[in-house]
Amino acid sequence: MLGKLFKYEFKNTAKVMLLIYGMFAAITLLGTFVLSWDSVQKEESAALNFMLTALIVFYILSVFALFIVTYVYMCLHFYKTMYSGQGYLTHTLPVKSSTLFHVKLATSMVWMVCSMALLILSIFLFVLSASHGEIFSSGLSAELHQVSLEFEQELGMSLGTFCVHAGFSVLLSCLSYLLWIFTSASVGQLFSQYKVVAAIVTGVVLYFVEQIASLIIMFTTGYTASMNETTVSITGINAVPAGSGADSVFPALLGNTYIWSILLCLVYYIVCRVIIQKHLNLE
Amino acid sequence: MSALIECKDLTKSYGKKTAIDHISLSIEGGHIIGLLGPNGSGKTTLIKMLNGLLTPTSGSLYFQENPIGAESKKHISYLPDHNYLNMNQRVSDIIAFFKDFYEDFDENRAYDMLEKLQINPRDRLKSMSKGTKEKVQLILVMSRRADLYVLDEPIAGVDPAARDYILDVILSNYEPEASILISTHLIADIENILDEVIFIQNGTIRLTASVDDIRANEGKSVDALFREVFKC
Repeated sequence: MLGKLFKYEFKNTAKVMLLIYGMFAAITLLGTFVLSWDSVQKEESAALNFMLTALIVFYILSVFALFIVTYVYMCLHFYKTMYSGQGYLTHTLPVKSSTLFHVKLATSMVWMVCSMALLILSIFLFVLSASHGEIFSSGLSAELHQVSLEFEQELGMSLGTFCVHAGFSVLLSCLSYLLWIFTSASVGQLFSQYKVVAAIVTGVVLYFVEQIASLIIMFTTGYTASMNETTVSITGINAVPAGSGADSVFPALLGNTYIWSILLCLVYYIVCRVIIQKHLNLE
Repeated sequence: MSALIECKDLTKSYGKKTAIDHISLSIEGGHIIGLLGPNGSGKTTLIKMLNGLLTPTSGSLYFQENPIGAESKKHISYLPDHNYLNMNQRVSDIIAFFKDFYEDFDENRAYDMLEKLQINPRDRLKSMSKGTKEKVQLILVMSRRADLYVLDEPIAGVDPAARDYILDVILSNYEPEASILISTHLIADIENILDEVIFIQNGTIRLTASVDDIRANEGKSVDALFREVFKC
């Protein structure tokens, strides 16, 4: 049953997602094609300069659109198939309600990760095109080594470790954002009337509660003070020796951010699952 | 013989409003049962709880001695009172979906019924009329070899000729050992096919009786008794 659920979940979402990816891929290819022109890179004319600027702006907008559309579509799909008319079909399938929830969450995460992978590939193609393939020249490894050393000094970790942490943080953020909306929708469906309005209000309330709770934690754990010190250290206003600034605070900051994000995901997950399992209300 | 459906002190409230009020009920299998009551009497709420779409506020509900869940959904074929399918899908895609998820789904039976009705399986639901969509939904539900068919207002909102057709589809396609629970307020149209009736009003059961007993003891049709019981 699990395989069938995944099959239909991907089948039902693939059409829209592949259309979005196709459009983004087309924009990327157009960009790489334009960037590969020597005259564009040298900005030989005002028209070409304008075209380059417009292209960059358009590309940045399309990156935002890629993520916003993916995220909004996943949230709408969840609501439509769980709590509106189609929810009647979803919840009368001979599978556990928790399985339905897990499949929808996992599928949404896969599409979010695919969007990220597409963005990384797109940026790579842009850089490759702009450098005419020289990115792979011998100088690259030396430059990467230099950057890695700077990361080590400033943040207390290598560039590779930083990239792994960044990837993990993004995944956690995606998960918490999805669960935030899924929870809001689940709470909203508990109401007899104005379910969508109730879901939106719940989302706003959860957001503020989350922000206030994170601020309280930052203040009570002395985090803000450490961060101020780090900012000063990084900007060079007040040089501090290695080990007393960002290089010690940053890994700790990451650790605490992980704990907070995981905790948040866990709370949203439990609330969502309990509502779906025990308080389904398809009036 | 164990009960097909058993409710014990079942209650469902929406805030201060009580839709189902401490109902205790036991329904045996192998019958066509009419769940009859005026609008807002709690018919749909009871049906939704039976299909796991609503959670009871208190009390318990069992199907074949099991609580409502994944297992009971394998044996109950449910027709809601509105469209619940993805309108962008083709009928053939939906049939494939049902075949994948319901072991008791008879694909040939579905295609036979579609052919008799001259509905093209390649058509998308969104391109169909309201009546045709309802027929497709009924075909999907009746193509399962389920133990219980739960039909919520299957003849409401359709013309009399279509009503006869729908009732014919129901009668000619359900499994002989299976049960059908039909919710409606159009008693006269379905009276002839019913074995038993449950009268429900304001979330409470007013009467459970066999149709033969009503005719013999009351000397009235179910429709006449309904009008008398629920007289405004």
